[in-house]
Amino acid sequence: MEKIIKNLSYFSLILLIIIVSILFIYPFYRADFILDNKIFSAMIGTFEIGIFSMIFGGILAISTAIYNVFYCKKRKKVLSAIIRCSAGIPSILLGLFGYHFFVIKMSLGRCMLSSSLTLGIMIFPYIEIELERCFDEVSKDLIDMSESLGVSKEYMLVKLIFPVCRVEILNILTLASGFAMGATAPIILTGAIMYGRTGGLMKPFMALPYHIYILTSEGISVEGAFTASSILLVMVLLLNLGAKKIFNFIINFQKNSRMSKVK
Amino acid sequence: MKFIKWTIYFFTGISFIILLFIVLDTFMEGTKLFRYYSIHDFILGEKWHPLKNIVGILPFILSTLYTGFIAVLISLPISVFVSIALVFYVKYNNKLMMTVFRTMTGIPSVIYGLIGFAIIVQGFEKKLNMTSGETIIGGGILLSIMVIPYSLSAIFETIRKLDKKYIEISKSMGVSKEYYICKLILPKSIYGIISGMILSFGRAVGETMAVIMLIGNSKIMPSLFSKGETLSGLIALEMGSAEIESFHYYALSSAGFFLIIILISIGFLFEYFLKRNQVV
Amino acid sequence: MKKIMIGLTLLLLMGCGKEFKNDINFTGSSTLAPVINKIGEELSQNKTWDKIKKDLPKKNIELNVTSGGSGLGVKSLIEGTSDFGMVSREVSESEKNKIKDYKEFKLGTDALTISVNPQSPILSLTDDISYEQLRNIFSGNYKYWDDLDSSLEHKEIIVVTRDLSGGAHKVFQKIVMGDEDVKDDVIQAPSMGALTQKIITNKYTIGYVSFGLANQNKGKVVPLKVNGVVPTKENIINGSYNISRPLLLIASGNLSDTETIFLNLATSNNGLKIVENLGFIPGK
Repeated sequence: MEKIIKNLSYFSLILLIIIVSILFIYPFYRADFILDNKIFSAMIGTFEIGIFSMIFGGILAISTAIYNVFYCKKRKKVLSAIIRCSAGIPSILLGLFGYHFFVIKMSLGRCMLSSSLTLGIMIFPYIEIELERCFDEVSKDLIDMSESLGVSKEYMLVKLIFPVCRVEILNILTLASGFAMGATAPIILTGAIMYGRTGGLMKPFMALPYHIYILTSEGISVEGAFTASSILLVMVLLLNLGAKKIFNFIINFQKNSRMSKVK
Repeated sequence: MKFIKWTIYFFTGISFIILLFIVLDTFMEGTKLFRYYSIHDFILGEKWHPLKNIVGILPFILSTLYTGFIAVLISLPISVFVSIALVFYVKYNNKLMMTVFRTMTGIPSVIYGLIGFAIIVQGFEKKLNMTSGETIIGGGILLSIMVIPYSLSAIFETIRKLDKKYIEISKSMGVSKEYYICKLILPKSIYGIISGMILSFGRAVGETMAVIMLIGNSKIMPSLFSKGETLSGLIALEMGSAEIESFHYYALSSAGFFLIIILISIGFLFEYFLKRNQVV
Repeated sequence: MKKIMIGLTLLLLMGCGKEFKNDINFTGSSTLAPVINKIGEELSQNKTWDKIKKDLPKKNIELNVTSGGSGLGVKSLIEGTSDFGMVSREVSESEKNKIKDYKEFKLGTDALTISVNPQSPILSLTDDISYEQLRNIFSGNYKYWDDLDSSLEHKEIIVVTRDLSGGAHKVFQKIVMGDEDVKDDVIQAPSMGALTQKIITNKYTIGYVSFGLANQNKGKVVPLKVNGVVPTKENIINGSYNISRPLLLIASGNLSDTETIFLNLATSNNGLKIVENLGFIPGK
């Protein structure tokens, strides 16, 4: 009996490690690394989508999180429940909503703006929930002290909360934009194209996940799809793993340079 | 400084309005079909021929549920045993390993679909000599890999906390490690395991892109080794050809509405078990 | 704060339409997409619009192509999300009525070959198939290859079709199947390219591969004769091979300068040559 559990546990662990290795290595193994204009166009498109959806989703989520934690007396359960439910909406349904609302009703047409707005809505619940967690962790003492000193809430936010949470907020935003960069279903209807150059905000664009999907489903080139996958994997994983370290480095760098100026 | 307050109120209001819009829109568009098509026929109907005004989503509901169940069935034992391994047997690097496993959630779903297509579908065709490698069970296997990190996180946390709580007591009792695991930790972690299970099931049911690429997308009543099509796959593939306000479009919206209802129910189940877990 | 305001204004300005629209959007059939893309590449070699027609502004030539099926091509015109629709089937009257000021331009003709894998069981017997046999296979009456002829293997016939939004499916249904339904248990490929890939990789498949793609993949798929007629360019043009479909660009309303330029190139000799190089039959 004892041996069984021990062996099963080790076996499962090794199995999972093998699976993860396959997931990360196989795309590079099968890719043909032919980099043509289309891949570059798709890379730029994915990058822009990441930035714009981070802006739109971030603004909404930061406001809502601040409101929920600092301005809301009863910590409205309704808002939290709605947000948690919307985190579960499948991305294809958000894409549908984005198509009918942004592309058709608001006449934006199929463009980067429609897609980033839709993706912003998609990542909004995640950012909001994580931000609430982050704001909650700010020491209650600091908040109480500032209130007792009579400063306005807004002053406290800018001078107290923001510097403390800066790194964490950037980290959350970056992770969320990594999530948005990998999403396919919402952009299919709202602005992704098969061939073309990625232009400005109001133009349609190419994106790596859609490119992968098209290459595979149209049977054009599975190796090309793996190339695009490898690139996308590198982009997203760098964001996931490296974000915190990069931001810590930048903030510390700023701190050090400020200190040396004071001296 | 006051304008900061109003900016915050403004944007929060916008988020609230947008979310409300989405809820209302889905509800309204999703139920318009039922004015002239019976719910009973829709949910239990086996044929999907929108151009002939016959729409039944039973095959899709079954495909979605089958793949979801298979995903949970495979991923749950793996999550439980890996958690046990990380908490009890491999204590030194377990945080590092958990970080690596968590990065699985960052991999975009198309990449999962592509790898699944290349390995599972073509593997079935070549190694098992099947005429067509697209199957429900293939989809289930891929989904199980995708949802492992979700249940793994939840179960790992549960078991770790329980271990911290009870390790001293059991050491002083002198029982073997395995006895400790079987008789104490596992029974107590049942709620954590169930909530991990529900979380991963919800994730599996909502997944669109990865499944489309390896399930064959046939609108038939599915069985384990047949092709099938999930609800989300149905919407993704047919939305392109349904004009707004047509019968087809309303049928697809209702299918989406139904999918959301399934997901919300799973969500409520999850909240319920989460509360019971915290009592432990 | 100032920086944010400037940034926002810039963003808005980017959006406030330039008077001149330097890109053309195409949406629809995945069969036509490579053709339009190639014609677009040739047009783009001029880099900016003013090099083609002097009174146009010096803006980059951009062409955006999206697939999604002929159904999406029609829908995108009805809903106004695209400049041109790419359609590889006849456009029905009800669809034409929904499009404001409907315009149609024919680039060429494509046919649907009935193709099998080079190692298909049927090839050991014959390279000809009748409408009757096709109807039985696609409707599911013949489930295994030995239903077709008892000398063949007892292996399932894997039927590959396009899905509902594919122009090909409607053509096939109308011309071959008639009133009989195609069975549910088919692999619905999301595009003609995927359909072809399925036939290439699996030896028990049969499906309606487009003439153009069959030509591009000579040797990897084998088109069968239908009722004794070989699917060749001559037979398609003279009508003896009649499972054919038109390749159309459809538009709504008057064409802009840039769109007219594109259309002129597409229907010129250079354009028709591109159509022909991809294996289709050019011209009207």
